[in-house]
Amino acid sequence: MAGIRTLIVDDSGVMRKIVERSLRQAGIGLDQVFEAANGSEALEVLGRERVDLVLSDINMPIMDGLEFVRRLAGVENARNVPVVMITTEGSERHVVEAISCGARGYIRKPFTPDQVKEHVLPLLEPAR
Amino acid sequence: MSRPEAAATAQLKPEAARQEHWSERIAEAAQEVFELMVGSKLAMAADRGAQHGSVTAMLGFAGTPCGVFCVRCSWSGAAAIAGRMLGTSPEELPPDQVCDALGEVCNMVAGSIKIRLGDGGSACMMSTPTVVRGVDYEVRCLACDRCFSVVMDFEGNALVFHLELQSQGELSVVDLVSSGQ
Repeated sequence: MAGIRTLIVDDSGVMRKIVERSLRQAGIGLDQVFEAANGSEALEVLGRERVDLVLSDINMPIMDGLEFVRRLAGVENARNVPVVMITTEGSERHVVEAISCGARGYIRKPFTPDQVKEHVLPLLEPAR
Repeated sequence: MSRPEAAATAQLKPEAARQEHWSERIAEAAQEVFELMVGSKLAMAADRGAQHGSVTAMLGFAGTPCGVFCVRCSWSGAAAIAGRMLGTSPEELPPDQVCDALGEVCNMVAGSIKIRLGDGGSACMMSTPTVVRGVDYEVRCLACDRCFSVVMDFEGNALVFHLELQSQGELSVVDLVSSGQ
């Protein structure tokens, strides 16, 4: 799978790099990688760039990942972009909340590239 | 054994069990994070006492349980962790990336401890991590009255994982968690 434009949302720059590396290790060919440090920055990016996939943390300052996913539904050109949450919050309550907000997948940190592949690939195949 | 002595012994046993229970959970969580995200195995180690020039990453738990979780190590240890996480030489990393990496380690280990709670941590929220770097400082959670520490070795660097929890009412949060599993 190649030519994927992705947005990685996390307040940790180190984690953004690790998520990007994991996507590449999972065999997902990234054409362009955009980064945002919180949900508000992510909405700005999505307002001006076309992306195929968003991976977002939940616990972030300014705007958290759940609020970001809720607001994404109102962004005309991006409301159908699949969002996968990658977060330390692994309880069932958090998973249910994220999915009900509109997230299409949920990966708990720490994670392996195989887990990223398992959750991300099915979301990208329909668009290819 | 006199009655007061017997009572003291009876109280000590559950406390020792709690210490063991939480020490195991902390060690399991730390091992999981280091194996998956740092690419390294940790070994149990002896506490080497306060380190000059250390760095501490910490975050708060709110709800049930309520408390603070910290990871402390030397600066060179934190740089080594960051280097492994990013696949870069530790000497090339700027200080903010070293702090960021240790903050994320703290965040992930705390999350892994939380998921091991009886209810999967549903009643508990985690704050974002804060990192303190310096010499001759202490970190204390004023509201907490139960402390659990685990010292582990990462490539010759001692890592101290420290959890402080607040008891709630007559039954400690730790008891609630233990009975939920």
